[in-house]
Parts: sequence; structure tokens; C-alpha cells
Amino acid sequence: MRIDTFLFGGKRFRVDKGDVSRVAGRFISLGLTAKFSEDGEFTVPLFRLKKYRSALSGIEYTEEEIKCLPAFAINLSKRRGILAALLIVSVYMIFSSLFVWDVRVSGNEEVPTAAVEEELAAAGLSVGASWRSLSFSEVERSTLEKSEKIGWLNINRRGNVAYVTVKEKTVYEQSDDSGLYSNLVASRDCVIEEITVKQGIAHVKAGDTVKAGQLLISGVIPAELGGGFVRAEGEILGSFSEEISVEVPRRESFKSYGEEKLLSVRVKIFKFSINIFKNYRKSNNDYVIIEDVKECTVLGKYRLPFGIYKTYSADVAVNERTYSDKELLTVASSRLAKLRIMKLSDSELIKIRTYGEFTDGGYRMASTVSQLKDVGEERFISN
Amino acid sequence: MTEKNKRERKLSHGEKIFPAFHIEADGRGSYLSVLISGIIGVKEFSSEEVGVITRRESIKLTGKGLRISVFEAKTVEISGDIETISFVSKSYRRGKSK
Repeated sequence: MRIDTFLFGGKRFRVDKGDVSRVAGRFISLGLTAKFSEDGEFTVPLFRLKKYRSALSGIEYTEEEIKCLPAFAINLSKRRGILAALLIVSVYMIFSSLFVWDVRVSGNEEVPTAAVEEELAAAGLSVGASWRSLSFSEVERSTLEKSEKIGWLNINRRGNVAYVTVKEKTVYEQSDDSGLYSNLVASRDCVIEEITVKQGIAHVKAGDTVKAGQLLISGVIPAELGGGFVRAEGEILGSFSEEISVEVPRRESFKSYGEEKLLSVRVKIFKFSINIFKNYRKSNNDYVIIEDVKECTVLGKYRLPFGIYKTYSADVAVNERTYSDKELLTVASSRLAKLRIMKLSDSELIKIRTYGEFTDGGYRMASTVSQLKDVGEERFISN
Repeated sequence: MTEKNKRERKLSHGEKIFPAFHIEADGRGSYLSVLISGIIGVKEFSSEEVGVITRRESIKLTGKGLRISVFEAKTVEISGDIETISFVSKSYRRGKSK
């Protein structure tokens, strides 16, 4: 039976078996549809009766009403018991779908399931909790913040059951470095310019040349001073020179991005996504995909469960550029300046000498930078 | 001009692009359902034999317990215990040569 006939009611027509071919021929030419049974019966939806009747003019046929959903609904109104039962069942189904029926935890080995469930319950996810008031990301965040044993957590809803996948925290053995006693050693070769000891015994003085790894302030107190261990603390400023350089080739390739073209538009409602529009790339050039996500919020604070996801594609073209001598100097200079800023981010500049030369491939620019830096590096004393 | 060229010249542009009919079948055990599109009319119908006419051919299906369903876009479905399907070509000159 056709779905429209079932929903809105219809009529069953019967023609003589010999007339089926004639009727079918007329239906084909008029664009009408029918499914003939062996006896020459077919059903017609109520709202298209006129067309079928006019198509059957001149042919003998009989009509019979079909009792479908409307007739069933009318009959049901007389049987109030069944109606009430149906109503109760539907209300129960709707009502029960508002709450969490079960929480199933997987992925835990050491941590007992009950402990995970307890932590989830404290974050708001438990049997009987309302789905509407639940924010999975909030539960995940809150559980991870409070839990000492769970390292990662993911919650999914299937039907009325919450499926929780957990990964436990990996506990590493405490390393020897975490001891309370330490020495300060030189982090690099340098000349000590200034040394201030807050705790420990100084082993070098200003003007000394030290090698990387050499002891500067010791956390071991000699016996004559009382003995024992301390955590060495102090500020040791060392000066050193360092060369930084950049080389710019005369011919250089760089990427440029073309116009953005809309590839797809997708609407995501809860966990379902509907593709509204999809286009396919026609060229075989290299390209990048750019994703634009617009999530709907109320007052910019409360996230609604739907959003619009758009993807764009942009062609990537690799172009080559040849620098002139003047351009080479400018590019090398700007690159060296950036490098210098990075290198001097945690030290103080004393002196700088910059020089450059044209090479076979392009231009090389270098700077010898004399700088002042805290060179003390903490090394823990193992027990 | 050869006979083949004459025939090609008589074909309209639409006929060159679209085939006269399209047929596909789906079977479950001995039950077979044959869908034919491009139907002009139904020549005969009984539970043992169904004949349909397309633009260039007529198709005859025989079997047991045959049923016919008519759909939009000049498509019919014949289902049942289909035993044979035969095609009979129609002449292009039919009705013209007297």
C-alpha cells in the first residue's frame, strides 16, 4: 500500500483482468501510477480520485473504500481504553527520553568503574540526570580537573545511554632530579662578570673563564661550615660572543594562495550533520582547505547545539623570485634582525659587529654578538 | 546512400541521445522483478504473459503469477516468476511503405 493512501485514505479500484493492459496503457500516457494485483485491483489515494476516474472513462470498474489511518483514528476515538493506553505509553516514552538511563564506562584498568561513576556523578552525569541540563564538555572538564587518576575522558550519547571512555593517568617514577639539593653549573663557555650567592658556596669569582658544566655555586656545605646539603641559589652573569648568520639565495620559491572558493556547507545539529551544499574541485592544482565554523550561542556565552560549518578551497601556487643585489641586502638584513631579537630575548647585548658577503648562491650576512646572560643551570644532587 | 545511412538520417536528435528503453532486473530466488522505462503502452496482460511496447521494440515477458505496476516517467515494473523475456524489433518504415 502506498504511504499517502495509508495516511490520507484511498479507494481500491477493480477492473476486469482483460482490461488491465488498456488501463495500464492509459495510466502510462497520463503519467499516473498504479500497482495492479493479479485480480486487476489497484489502490488510489483520495486526493487523486478525479484523475483516475477520468482515465477509466469507458472502462467498467468497481470502487471500494479502504480503511486506513484516518478510519483507524476515528475508530480509536470510540475505544477510549486503547486511546488512553497509547497516550500513556507515548507520554512515558517522551518523558523517559529526557533522562539518562544508564552510564557505561570503558577503557579503565586500574581505576574501578564505580570510582569513575562516582567522579562523573559529582560532575553531574549519573543515572536519572536530565539530558537537557547536561553539558558533556563541562562534565569532562570538571571530572578531569578533580580526578587524580583519569587522564582523558570522552562522553557520547547513544539513545538514552551515556557511553564514557576513559584513559588513566600514566604514573611515572619520580626522577632523581626532583631532589631538594642542587648545584649551579655553567650552562655554556663564558667569562664570569658578576656572581651573587643567595645560598650555597661560590666556586668561581668575577673575571674567571669557565667551561660549560663547570661548578659555579655548590649546594654541598663543607664540614668546617657545618656540613650538609642545600639548594644552591644565586645569580651568575657571564659574558660570551656568539655568531648568528643568515643566507638568502638569489632565487627563492614562495607559496601564494588564490581566491577562496566555497566547497561545502554543512549544518550540524547535536551530533547529526546535514550537507546543505557540496561542490567538487575541478582543477588538479595543489590546494589548501580552510574550514570556517560558526557556532550559535546565546549572549555569546551559552553554546547552542547547532552550528554552520563551511569549507573553502584555495589554490596554492609556488612562484619563484629572483632578488636583485639591493633586495638581497634588505631581505638578509630583516631576517638577521628577527634572528637577533630571538637570540637576545633573555640576555643583554654588549657589543655587535655585523658583516656580509655575496656568495655563489646569494648573500650571507652574519653578526658577532657579545652578550650578558644568566649562565647558572641547576643540577640536582642525587641521593 | 546505404540502408544504414538512411536509417541514421531518420533518427531524431532525441533518439540519438536517449536509448529507446532501459531495462533492469532484480531477482530473489525464482521471483524476478523487471523494471522497464521508456514504455509507450501495454499490449497485453495476463498472469502468464505481459507484452509492452517501447519506441523501437516490443518486449514480451512470460512466466507465472505476473503482476504489473505503472510508475511515472513511462516506467513499468513486471514482477513474478518470470521465465522468458523476448525482444521484437519494430521496422522504421512501418506505416510509410505502401
